[in-house]
Amino acid sequence: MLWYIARRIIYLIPTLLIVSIIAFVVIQLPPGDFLASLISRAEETVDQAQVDALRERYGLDEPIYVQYWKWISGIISKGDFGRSFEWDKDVSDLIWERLGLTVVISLLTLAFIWIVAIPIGIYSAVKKYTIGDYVVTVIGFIGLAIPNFLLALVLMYIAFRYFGQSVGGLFSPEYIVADWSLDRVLDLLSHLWLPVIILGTAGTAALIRVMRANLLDELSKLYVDAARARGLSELKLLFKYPVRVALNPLVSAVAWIFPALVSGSAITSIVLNLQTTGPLLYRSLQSQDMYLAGSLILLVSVLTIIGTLVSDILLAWIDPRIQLQ
Amino acid sequence: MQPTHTRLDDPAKTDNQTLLDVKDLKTHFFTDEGVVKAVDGVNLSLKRGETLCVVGESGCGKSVTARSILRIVPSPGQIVSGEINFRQRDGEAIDLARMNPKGREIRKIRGGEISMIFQEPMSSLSPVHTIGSQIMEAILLHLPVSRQEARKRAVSMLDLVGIPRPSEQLEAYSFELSGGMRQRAMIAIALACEPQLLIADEPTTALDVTTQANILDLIRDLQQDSGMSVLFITHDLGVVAEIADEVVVMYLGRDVESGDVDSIFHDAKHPYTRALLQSIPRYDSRENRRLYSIKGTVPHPFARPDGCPFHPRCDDFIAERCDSIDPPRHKLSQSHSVRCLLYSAADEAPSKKGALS
Amino acid sequence: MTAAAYPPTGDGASASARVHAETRIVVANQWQLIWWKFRKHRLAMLAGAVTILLYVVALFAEFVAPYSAGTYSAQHTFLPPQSINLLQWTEAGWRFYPHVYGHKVQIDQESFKRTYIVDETIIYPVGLFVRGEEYKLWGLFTLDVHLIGAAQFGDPVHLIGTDRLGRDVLSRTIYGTRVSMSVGLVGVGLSLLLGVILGGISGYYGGLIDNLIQRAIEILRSLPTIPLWMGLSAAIPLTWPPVRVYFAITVLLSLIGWTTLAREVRGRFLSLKTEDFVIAARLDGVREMQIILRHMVPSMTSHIIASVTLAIPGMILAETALSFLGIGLRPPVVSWGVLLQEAQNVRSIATAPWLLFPGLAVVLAVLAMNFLGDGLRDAADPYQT
Repeated sequence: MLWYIARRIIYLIPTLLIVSIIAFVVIQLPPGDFLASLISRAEETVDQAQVDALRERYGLDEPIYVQYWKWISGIISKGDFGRSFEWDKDVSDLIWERLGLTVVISLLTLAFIWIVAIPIGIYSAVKKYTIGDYVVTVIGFIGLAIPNFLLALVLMYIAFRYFGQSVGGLFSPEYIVADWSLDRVLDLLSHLWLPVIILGTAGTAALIRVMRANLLDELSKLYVDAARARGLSELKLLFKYPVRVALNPLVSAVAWIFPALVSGSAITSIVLNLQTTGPLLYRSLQSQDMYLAGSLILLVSVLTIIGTLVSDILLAWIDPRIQLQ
Repeated sequence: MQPTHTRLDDPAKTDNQTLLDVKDLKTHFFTDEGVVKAVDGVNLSLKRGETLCVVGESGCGKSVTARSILRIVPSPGQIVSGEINFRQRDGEAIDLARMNPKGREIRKIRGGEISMIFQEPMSSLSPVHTIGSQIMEAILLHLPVSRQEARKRAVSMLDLVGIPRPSEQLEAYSFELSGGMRQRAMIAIALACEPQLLIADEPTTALDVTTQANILDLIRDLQQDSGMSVLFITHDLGVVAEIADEVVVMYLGRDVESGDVDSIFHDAKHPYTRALLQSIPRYDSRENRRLYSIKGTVPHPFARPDGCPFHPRCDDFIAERCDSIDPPRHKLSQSHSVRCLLYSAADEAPSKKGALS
Repeated sequence: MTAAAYPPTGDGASASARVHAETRIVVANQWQLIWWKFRKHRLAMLAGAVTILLYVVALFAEFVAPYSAGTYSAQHTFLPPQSINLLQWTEAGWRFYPHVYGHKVQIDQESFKRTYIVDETIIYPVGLFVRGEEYKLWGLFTLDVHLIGAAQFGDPVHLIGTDRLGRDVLSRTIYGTRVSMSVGLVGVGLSLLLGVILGGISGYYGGLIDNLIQRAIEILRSLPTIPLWMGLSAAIPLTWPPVRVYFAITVLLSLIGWTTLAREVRGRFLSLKTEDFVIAARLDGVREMQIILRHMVPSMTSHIIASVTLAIPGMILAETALSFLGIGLRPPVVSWGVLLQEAQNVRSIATAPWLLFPGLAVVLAVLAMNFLGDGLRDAADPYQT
């Protein structure tokens, strides 16, 4: 097991390298260097000495790989992600809370998806081709077909139109800038249900289908008959054998659902005005605040990579067949 | 449906020596495309301590018959009619066909009184549970023992079926064992509660020849020690010759001939049985001719021929009789019966010359 | 096949019918079998019809839409949908006369907000194949016939209402079909190219190349796609012409979308490589290229078609999301995502909920192609039951 984890972590290194290069490319993409855009944006003339200092710090006159090296080594050694020019702050001051909220929302949504999808998937498989199964299947397909942001818009409209409520945001106005306290956490939780449902719909629909298909596969396996022939009751049988085996692919599904959640939360957060990484990235891209944008892409990618790693390890832990391969 | 607990005292119906008596069992599958009559009138009877082999081509309903006895026919299959009389350990005879397949009573029978092993040992063991947990599950379900005792018993069962280092193998997963070892483990699970009847559904088909022989020996040894009966399902006549006391030959969901192993191998009556016997290659055959093969193929399940189901492939087909009259069971002797118009209706129509030679 | 095909009688005629039925099964080729199996999947058949309809609409958008995408009317901004009444009451009784009612405008003196009140005295007849604005179909034929619209040219008939510039939402959604549905096709086409080449190489040669490509796919799949797309598409210069932006976006979408198809192709190649008929061909000395093209490709085509169908909805959703955020396609290009940009906040939806109509089109298209792809996937292997 330890050897397996070690191997997975070693695999991580090239992935991280490639991700950091992609993020760096994003930083480099806009025409001209960012100092030019900084100077053009500044209202008053920028102090030439300051410009030169920045030029030196990011190695802008040097070849591109040196620039990359300066950037990445700054991140690794000092946690220095560069500077946001729009906010006039260090990037690292801006991102951590938002990254934390992204993680919280994604994990809560993941939990929501599992809690809803597993029982419904089991029901749908056991009651195959009944009315209930068809209803679940159709709702599932519709859930898959509605883009997150559209669902968000519709729900916001319904809340606004029929309940006179504005449901966006993660905090009530008085808590937005407040320090963390129990009240703020509770306020956060009371706002979280909407984004969790919106983000979770597509994933839930997908996992119901995965669970149903897996369980149907497993239900027809011989070991189920063998256990039944041993005298086990139907319910115990169902949960001890086929459901248990059918859950394995669900754990590995985390590997693709988690990136999808982080990814989907970008757009949903923009629509719902949540203080996660999504809207920040959006704004930074619009204002070409490239160090902020690149850092966000890097961190969000690292986040999903870690999610994938965790799900792999989890799967190896619950499925004895994996480590052997 | 309530099971009926009647003492069958009528010796003509079931004497005390008869453990299992299946009468005119019909198990049909109601699919969207139509009804598949997988088992359509099977009779068989098995005495205590004996081995009954059910032989036939694939698709003739052997496995469905076996599953019907344990009431684990997969949906959309259903027992439509017939009796499955089984004498419990306490001497009481019950009709398994009338039990609720999900009820408590049949569950007591499964694994406790009747056990089953399947064709593919790989897929009949759970991929994510240890061998030990599956044996102990069976023991704890049927015997009033503690987990400690169940564990001990599991180890001794693994030892009994010849698995080396049994207490270690208790923690093994099925994918860590070889095919033969897996089937031994299956047998250990099946026999853990000392059932009266072991149903073996082609248990050696997926194994290589040497392993096959080992498993057959094992089953025979265990049977001699415990006195259980074995219902052995196979398409391999070689296996039948080796282990059977009684034989039932099935074709298209029906028993076409049944009898003791001698009468079947040396005095086969039904054209299908004889055709099967002729199609076994013999190394001592002096004639240098092509191996016999039955003409035609097994009909489509929806296209059951009328009359005798075998008539379109039969060499001794009597026009306008075999294709319209459903042949009844005809008793040739105390232990030998056949369903064929060549014999049962000899008084009405002269049997074809050569048919009996 | 039904039981009825085999009447259970023993006479010779039915025996020959039976033989006939059996030969029919024997000679049916793979595609016929797939079609037979697919046909049984009612929902997939319906979804297939809807998909074809959507592409037909995309092809003939100018004809199907009552107005052109750019036609606007300052007097009819945010006009609510008008419902069609099929019958009209006259002295002679009810008659078939499809029409919509006109509106009276009220302008709030304080906020200058326009509100429309349905005025049942104004009647605008509606018809099929009516004469309207002139257009050039595919830039070739100048026509003025529209599938549906105001029977009298110039009447303000807006079945789904209008947007803030008084443009017809229905017409714009119909025009959007063209871009949105084709983004899916072009994107998947590019993905397929990448997927088949890389997946094929990976599955056929195996070894180190396979390992490298698989690692690359794993890395790409563990990335959050939308932030990446956002980053990359934000870099598309604003000065680019719409067509170039369109292709840049499809390329971006397929850069990440090819991985699924590559996996599918690789998996098929791996399993086919050990199939008896491929080994037999190899033992017969057939050339490698011949084996791939004559033996392997035909037997995986059906699976690939199914995967491609299932990949299109993802592309449509991605384009819609990016354009919705304003970093994908941009006006004057009309796509469903671009149209939904008009409905970006609650305020505008509250004034004009019908602006979400293009969203319905997205859901319909994605739903139809998911069902269709599902049906195709089930039918792709006709030998499996």
